[in-house]
Amino acid sequence: MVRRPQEPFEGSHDEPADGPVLVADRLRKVVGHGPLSVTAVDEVSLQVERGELVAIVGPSGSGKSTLLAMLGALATPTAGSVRIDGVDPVDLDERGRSVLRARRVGFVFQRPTLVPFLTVVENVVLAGQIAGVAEGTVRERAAELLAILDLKDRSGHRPAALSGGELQRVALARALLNDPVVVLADEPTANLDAARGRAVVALLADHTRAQGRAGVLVTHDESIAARADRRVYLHDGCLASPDAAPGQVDPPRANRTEGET
Amino acid sequence: MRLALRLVWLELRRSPSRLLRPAVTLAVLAALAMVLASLVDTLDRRSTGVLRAVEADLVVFNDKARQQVLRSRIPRPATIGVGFVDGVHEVGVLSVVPTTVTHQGDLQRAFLVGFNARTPAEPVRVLQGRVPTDGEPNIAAIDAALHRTGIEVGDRITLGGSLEVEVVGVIAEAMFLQQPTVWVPPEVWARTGARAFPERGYAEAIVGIALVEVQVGRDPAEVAPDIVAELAEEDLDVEVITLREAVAAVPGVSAIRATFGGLVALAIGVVVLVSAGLALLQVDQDRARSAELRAIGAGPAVLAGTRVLRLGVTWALACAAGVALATGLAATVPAAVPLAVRPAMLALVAALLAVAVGVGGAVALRRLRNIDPAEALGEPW
Repeated sequence: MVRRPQEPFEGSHDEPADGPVLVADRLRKVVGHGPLSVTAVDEVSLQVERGELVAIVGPSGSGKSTLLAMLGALATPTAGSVRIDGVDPVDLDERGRSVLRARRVGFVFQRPTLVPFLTVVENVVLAGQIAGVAEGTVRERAAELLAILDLKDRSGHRPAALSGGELQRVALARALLNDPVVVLADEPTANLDAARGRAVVALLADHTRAQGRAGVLVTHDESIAARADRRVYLHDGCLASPDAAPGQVDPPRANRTEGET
Repeated sequence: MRLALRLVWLELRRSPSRLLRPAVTLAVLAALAMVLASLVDTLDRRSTGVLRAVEADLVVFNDKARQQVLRSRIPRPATIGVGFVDGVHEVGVLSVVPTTVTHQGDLQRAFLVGFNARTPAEPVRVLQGRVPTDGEPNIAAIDAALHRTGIEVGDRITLGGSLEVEVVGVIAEAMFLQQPTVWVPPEVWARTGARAFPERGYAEAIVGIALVEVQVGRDPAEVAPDIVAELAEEDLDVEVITLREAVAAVPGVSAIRATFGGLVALAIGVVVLVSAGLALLQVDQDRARSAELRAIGAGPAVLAGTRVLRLGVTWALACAAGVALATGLAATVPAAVPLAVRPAMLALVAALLAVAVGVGGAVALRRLRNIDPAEALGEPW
């Protein structure tokens, strides 16, 4: 069990509020201009409740990462809206979105790029420094997370000395450091062996269920997705999931290319 | 800014090569710019030292002299009238003639400067002893350049092959047209000049230029026409210009400034391009990491601050190396090479380099600002 920071920082939510943590309403993302434009995500609505881990499953190019970018305030939707813990990122300026991501969202990327001249523990602590958390608090928590992720012996190493799987676990520790209300993971097990992959998903599930947070896991691996509380399928930018809430699923669209911008 | 400072400090400590590589490149350019700037500075100062040694607001030339100290001849009595012009505080005369200095059998070329003591024509910076006063027949002060050849206060030197004088003081370097100077009272100058060039009509009643100090609060530009008018009444056509203009009019100075100034500007321009290129390269190399840091919440200010600090460190390292290289070179080249390093000139070049690195780095900052945090997810579409 991962202990949460003892000193809550501005913007953190210690007391779970009612309602879903993550709400996506009729999200659409069109990329490109004119005749070359492509609708990467089309009319996707999704809710992730507190304590819930949702897996987004779909083939390559189905729009999973684009959807994840909008859910994590990394990209602005062309239409529709996202609310992260009640906050619509569109209502914030660039700095506000940075603060929102730092304090309420944890990201695990498929190919994490750590700061090469910082040690493992310093890379994890960096997330807390960016969020403005007291250094003592984050160092203690970072050590705890690294121990859970079996990286205690590697905490003084530089990223160049780590394997792909170890890098991925460091990225996970960094994502969980600030105890975010939602963790978004993009193929987090892609570089891990089966056992470590299961451990990572277990940690994600533990964080979301036990801490009352939300998790979204993008994967193409059904065995990993099966460990989530709910699976949604994305195909050609549209949700096609029997698990999705009634009325929130549009039929898959055969042709994603539109003339709109 | 604290986080940016910490990151740059750790990078400098743990991966110094990433900062040292661009610093070395810039250091070579910085040294080049500093050496070129020191060359132009030294050539300039060694051409104009006589005029730089004094403090005056205006310089009065015979109008046929075309603002050349060596060519100008003014009847000495006429300069007295200048002192009565409204707005003039004090007047002194200064005359220059080429001569030779013989010391312990060694002969070298120099310029003999006749001047009025305790007037605007008196050299300001006396390093040792004193300067001669009017009416002292056989004494002289030498400038630091001549002092470096081994002549000391108390030594006797021979001017123009015949007039022996005693050195009573050393003034700061005041070279003229790349040669050292000997400072004597006007009558000694006239006597030496007459012996060396009897056909040129040197006499005690003739001086080269008049140096004028205007009264406090008066604008020299307003006083100058009155001086011209005053001397016109005495049938003497003169040209009155500021000391700065007179310095610029010394033969060769404008060419030196244009040539070497152009080279320095070129070096600074290259620094702009190189620093922009290096910074852009680093931004591109770090693009994935920057996008990921943006994604996990680092604001644009943190990334920009880190980049600015790195540029600052690179600039500081480059300037330190450039100063060391330029100073080392100046210390090792033969004395005949006009390369003397002045801290003020190095500081000026360092400031210009800071601007150049800043301009170059601004291009990279613009690209850094445009990094999309969504790039951390790869190319999602």
